Amino acid sequence: MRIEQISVFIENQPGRFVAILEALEKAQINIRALSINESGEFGIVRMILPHAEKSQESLRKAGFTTYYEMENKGH
Amino acid sequence: MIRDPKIEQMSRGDLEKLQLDRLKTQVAYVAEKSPFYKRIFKEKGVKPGDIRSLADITKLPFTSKLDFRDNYPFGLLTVPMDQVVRIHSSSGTTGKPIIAPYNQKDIDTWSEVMARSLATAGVTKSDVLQNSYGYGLFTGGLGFHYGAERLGASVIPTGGGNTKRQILLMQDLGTTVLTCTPSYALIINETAMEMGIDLRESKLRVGVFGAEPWSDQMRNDIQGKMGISAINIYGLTEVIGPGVSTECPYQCGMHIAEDHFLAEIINPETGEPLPYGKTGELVLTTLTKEAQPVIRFRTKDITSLNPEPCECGRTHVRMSRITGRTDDMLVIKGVNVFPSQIESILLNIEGVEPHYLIVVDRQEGFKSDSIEVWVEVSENIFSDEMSKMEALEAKLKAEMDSVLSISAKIKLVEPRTIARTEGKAKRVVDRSEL
Repeated sequence: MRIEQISVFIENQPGRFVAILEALEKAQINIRALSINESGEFGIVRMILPHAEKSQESLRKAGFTTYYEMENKGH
Repeated sequence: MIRDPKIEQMSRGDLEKLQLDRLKTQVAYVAEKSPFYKRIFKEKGVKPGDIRSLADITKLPFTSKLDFRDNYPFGLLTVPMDQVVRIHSSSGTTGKPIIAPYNQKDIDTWSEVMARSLATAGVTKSDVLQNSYGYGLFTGGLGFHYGAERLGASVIPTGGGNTKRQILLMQDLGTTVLTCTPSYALIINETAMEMGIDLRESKLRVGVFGAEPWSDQMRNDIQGKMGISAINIYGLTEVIGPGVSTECPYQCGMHIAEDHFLAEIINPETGEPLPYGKTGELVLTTLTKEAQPVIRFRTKDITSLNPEPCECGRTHVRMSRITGRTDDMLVIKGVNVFPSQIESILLNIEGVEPHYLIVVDRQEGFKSDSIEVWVEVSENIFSDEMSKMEALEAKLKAEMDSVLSISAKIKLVEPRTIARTEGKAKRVVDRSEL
């Protein structure tokens, strides 16, 4: 199956993660899986999201720096 | 081509002898002719006879833009008005304009240093030179014009503006040299592209750009896009106009016309002289001017001097590209830091756009001053691998530490964390303002 993962740069500040959730909620996107990698003052939020392009666009609109990786983990 | 080999390739020893001779004459001249210099020499307790070596220049008082303003318009003039043949003026955006009067000999000197500057840049009498500096009160237009004519090039005095006509003339008249500000060069190139014209295919081969700060990155950009050698030139209205210093085609610093201008580098905080190689404020003394000489003028421009022989064969000292203005300088733990240094580090690290903010924390007094550099993470530097992001952070920190010689904290921030301002961006804030 095709796995579409989007990564988001996030500052380690109160309210920043909520801002990601709000952006996705506004676009009616459900998060299928999520992990957060943290390093001091910033973190990388990795999410498996449906409609990757639409998801990325809504996060960008909310002002986030994103990274979209498409992998074909073929079976 | 070296226009004046005897002067431009003079040994450092002979050059210093010539400079000392001329310095003594210039100092005696202003002490006799100028009530202003008479007064400030007296205040400092120095007489022309005290100048016995070039190092003795440090006994003389500094002058600044303020002295020009206080003595507006003709308080610094040292010849009778009927000998003045031309008066230029700076834009005066920060108060009263600077007035620059010239007698005939000054115009001759200026034309000669400009002709030499153009020759240093690689221009010859066979060139067709389009002068797109503004003509008028600004020293750029007429300074380049007289220098180019003296060199014997064919001058097209287009002045600034009407960009499409500039491009038309450039093609029809076969312009080989363009002189203007670097930002206007980029505008000309963009307009040409919109017109479907690739300037790389034109006869244009050299650009002599100045009158505003620019960077090596901008040079590379112009050279690549226009297919020319982009040469940096420096000068100021208070001293003479353009022609104080110019790069040779090796592009490794601007050769100062040291037979006419004596350059020093000082610590802008203390006024102490700094040795060759050290970065500080450029101070200039005219050696041959008559209508309005200037002694130890503090330019507020930050640079360094290199006296090593240049590959081009000229012996005159080279000044590095202006890296900042003393007005922008920060003092952190007693170390001078310029926002432009930080900007150049960011530009050198691939992909990093210069959206940054310097946060200075002075709350706990001098010893615990600290700075943080906030760098916005744009998509071209973002990686979803934490190790790569940490490596970027470490690389930025290492570069900052080595260039600034104090430790700066790097903070990677989300885009738009840093406020965008109209026009000149605010690059430095105090922690208490956040």
